[in-house]
Amino acid sequence: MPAKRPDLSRRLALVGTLISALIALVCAATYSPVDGNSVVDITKWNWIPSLGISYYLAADGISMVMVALTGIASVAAVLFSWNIEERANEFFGFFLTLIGGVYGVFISFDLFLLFVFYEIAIIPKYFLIALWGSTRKSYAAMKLVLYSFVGSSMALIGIMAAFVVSGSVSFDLQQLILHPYAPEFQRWAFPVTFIGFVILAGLWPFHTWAPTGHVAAPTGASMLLAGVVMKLGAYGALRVPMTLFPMGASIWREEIALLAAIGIVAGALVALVQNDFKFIIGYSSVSHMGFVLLGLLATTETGLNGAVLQMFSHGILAGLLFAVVGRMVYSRTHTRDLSKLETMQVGKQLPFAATIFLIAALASVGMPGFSGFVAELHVITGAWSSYSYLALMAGLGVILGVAYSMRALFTVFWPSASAREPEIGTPLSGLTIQEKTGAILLVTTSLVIGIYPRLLLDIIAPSLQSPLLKPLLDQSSTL
Amino acid sequence: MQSLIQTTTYGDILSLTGPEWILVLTALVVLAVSFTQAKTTSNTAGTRRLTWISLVGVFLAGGVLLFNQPLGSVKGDVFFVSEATRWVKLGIVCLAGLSLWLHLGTEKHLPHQGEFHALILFATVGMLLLVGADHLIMIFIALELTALSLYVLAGFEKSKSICTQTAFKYFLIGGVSAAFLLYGFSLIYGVTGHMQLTDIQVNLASKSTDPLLALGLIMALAGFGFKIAAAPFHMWAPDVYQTAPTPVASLIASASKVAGFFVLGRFLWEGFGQHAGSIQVTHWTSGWIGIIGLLACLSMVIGNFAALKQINLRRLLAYSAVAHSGYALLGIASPSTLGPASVSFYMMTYGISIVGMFGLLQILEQNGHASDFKSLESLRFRSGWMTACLTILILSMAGIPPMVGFLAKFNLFIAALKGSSQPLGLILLVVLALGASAVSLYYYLKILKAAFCKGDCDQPASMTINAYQFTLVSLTVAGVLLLGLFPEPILSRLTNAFGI
Repeated sequence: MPAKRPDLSRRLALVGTLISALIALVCAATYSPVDGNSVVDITKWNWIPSLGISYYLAADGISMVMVALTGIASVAAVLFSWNIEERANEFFGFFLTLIGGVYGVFISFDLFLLFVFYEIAIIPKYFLIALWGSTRKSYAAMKLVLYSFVGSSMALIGIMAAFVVSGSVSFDLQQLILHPYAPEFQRWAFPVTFIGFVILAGLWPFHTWAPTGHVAAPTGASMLLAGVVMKLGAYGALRVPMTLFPMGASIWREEIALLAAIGIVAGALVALVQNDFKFIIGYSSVSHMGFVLLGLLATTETGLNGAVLQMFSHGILAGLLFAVVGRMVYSRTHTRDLSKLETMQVGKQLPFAATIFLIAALASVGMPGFSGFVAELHVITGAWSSYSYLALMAGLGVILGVAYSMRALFTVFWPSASAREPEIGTPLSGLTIQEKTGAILLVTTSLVIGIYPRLLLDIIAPSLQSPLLKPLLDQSSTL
Repeated sequence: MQSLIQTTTYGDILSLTGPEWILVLTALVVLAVSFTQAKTTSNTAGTRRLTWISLVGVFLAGGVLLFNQPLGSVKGDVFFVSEATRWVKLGIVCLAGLSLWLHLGTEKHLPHQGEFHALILFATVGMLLLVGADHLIMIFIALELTALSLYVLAGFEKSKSICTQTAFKYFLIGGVSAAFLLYGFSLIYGVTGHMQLTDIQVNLASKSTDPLLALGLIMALAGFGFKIAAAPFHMWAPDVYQTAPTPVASLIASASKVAGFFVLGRFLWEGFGQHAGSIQVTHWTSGWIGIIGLLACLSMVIGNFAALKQINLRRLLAYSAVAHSGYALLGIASPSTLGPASVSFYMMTYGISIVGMFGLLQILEQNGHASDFKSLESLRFRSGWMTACLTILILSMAGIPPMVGFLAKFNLFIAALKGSSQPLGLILLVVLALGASAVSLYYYLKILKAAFCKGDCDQPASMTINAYQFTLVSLTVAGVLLLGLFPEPILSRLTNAFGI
């Protein structure tokens, strides 16, 4: 890619993500279980037979939802990266590698392959943040990568142990679940693997990489980071430890669910006192990912439904929030300090940005009609039947969510009259067509899912009945 | 393959040691050519001729190994050839060839090039003999042949006092470790009355544990620990990596390690299999696995943490090599049949990437840069090709898929976990190894960051890269990528070969 032609790289990246997004959406829309088996094979090839590794791509309903999310979020993220001028070819190179890795994780049913894609998704983040980021970028990039790497190493231990203990000759997930793992083994294997994956999903207290990483990353990268990369952790946790070690899950779920609930509340509380606009969104991500994890650990069908929905919804809405903060506001005002933004009359100058932020904030705190509402409702209902006091904490998290969103909204876009100062600095340039398109794309998606969630629920439902997750759900219903 | 040979006729010995003889003859030819070369011929052209001759010899040796190598053993089992040794030797010959190719790219030449090439070839012969050795005396002779050649080579740049100093240090530590090794061997001989590895095993089976034997084993392990640069016997490595001529450093870092690890694994499992012991927390029995485990821990921790502080890239590579030795020791400690195969695969693939790294360092140095972080700054703007190669090689060493470094490590860990009868015997070591890799990722990423970020270097002069360097580095990068994406042909053959 020629370095002198940023527009060419941009267009190519847009076309590439658009095509893959279209394929992803079409696949998701036409998905239907074959012969009662929810897992639809895409390709299977004996990659390294001597280690029992195959290049096995397949998808079930949960993968389909995640793939659709990746498609939409990646297109939007390219649109919001339109202002990358410096070394655009490299930027989009790393960017697309990251997206490729993410797609790969969601459709791998061979655990080795899944891990390979998982790692492929980690390394580009380092470069995206360290080269194009802001605010302590080296520190944030290194912290993020090391956290992810430690997490993935823990996950790798679990995967290898599962393979070796089963005496199996294959890393194929559907082969591995046939082995009944001993309860003593599951007792330690589950927490190691689970925590390993959810470090990337921002489980409290392992979440500290997330806000710094999000803040330092360039807008497109933080959209991907919050939108899809954090989902990798939650998805991996559901796909590997919860599927393989259901007994371990029932032993540990309450403890880890408590951490998730603490994450919801702590993330929201910290977001409430931040003065950096982007940190608010960063911590809100931690809070929202807490819902995903709580939904997973409820280990009921409603909870899992809610978790997947929340992954999708948060992927869309966090992308949107970061887009407003990073691209629409920060790249024009060059400050994210709330007290400075308060005086700039951003709301008057950028009415579109204000509207989008209002919608996104309302949607993410659970305004009916948007995807956030359905998702959080499912999670809380699911959690209620398992542990009611944690559901209450989650409810508190929702209320705090309203508080910090509204605080940010009113301070930045509609400051009170007293704070408004008469002089206006240099006028801010208007929003570009790419920004508007991206924002509308994301808002529409959220709205569609909010009004008609069965679109996703119908895809997810058969997967929850599949042999993959059946042991998990049976386990919890007997308790 | 042909039927096994088991005889003492000279003809058969010659055919068993075909590749070794070819290399010895090549070395003699190189020496002869260098004597006849007129002093007036251009230094570089003359040297390149010598290198080409050596390379032809290496290719021939590799060809013999690949297509026409009979299997068998010399009577008395002093020396043997099996499928496994054939593959390992092929790996060593390839790595030695790559190191020689590295020498083609050298522009500044030292005097005595004939001897230089001959010594490299002799060192390679020593490694090949080491791989086939089945007898304590043979192991010692082969080790010394390699080591003595490498001592001289490490100090070849004798006009620089630092080089002489390093070589002397290398020689002293090497000499002491050889003494340890020999003393250990003599104790083992004293206890068992045998020199041949399988005889030792048979003899020990009928004896109770002897404290002298333990002492002998520990002494021998200290000697081997020096060869493979495992901590705490690694002190020579950073100095040698830093000051030895690049091809020599790359030979020491790659081929000699492959041979050292192979013979260490054979020595321990063939000779002392039933004294392995166990490091299970619940069923602790003393044995050499405990010592190997300790060496592995020390190497991983010391190597990685010392590497964090380095500013010179060669020293950094040396410490990271210590850490890599630590990972590979896990495979040695694994009693499964997968263990030795995974160690060999690991060291060979690691060898490829380290040769490539030395190629890149050579380019940097010939463009007038020191091999430290500063000279890497804004490499992206001086040579995109070099940056891409650097990224792939470094990520392979860090163990990031889809590069082969990850697969080799994964294979090693699986072998370690599969090994013991209780599958989780080595899991603590594997956990430590993964933790150590996380530490190593930090300094590997620091290298990449220096290359990608814009430094304050205001002369974006492009790098001059000659054709030899270009082909060498491209070859290693292609190897690292292809082996990572399609490892099956090599991996399955290697595993099968060791299974026999």
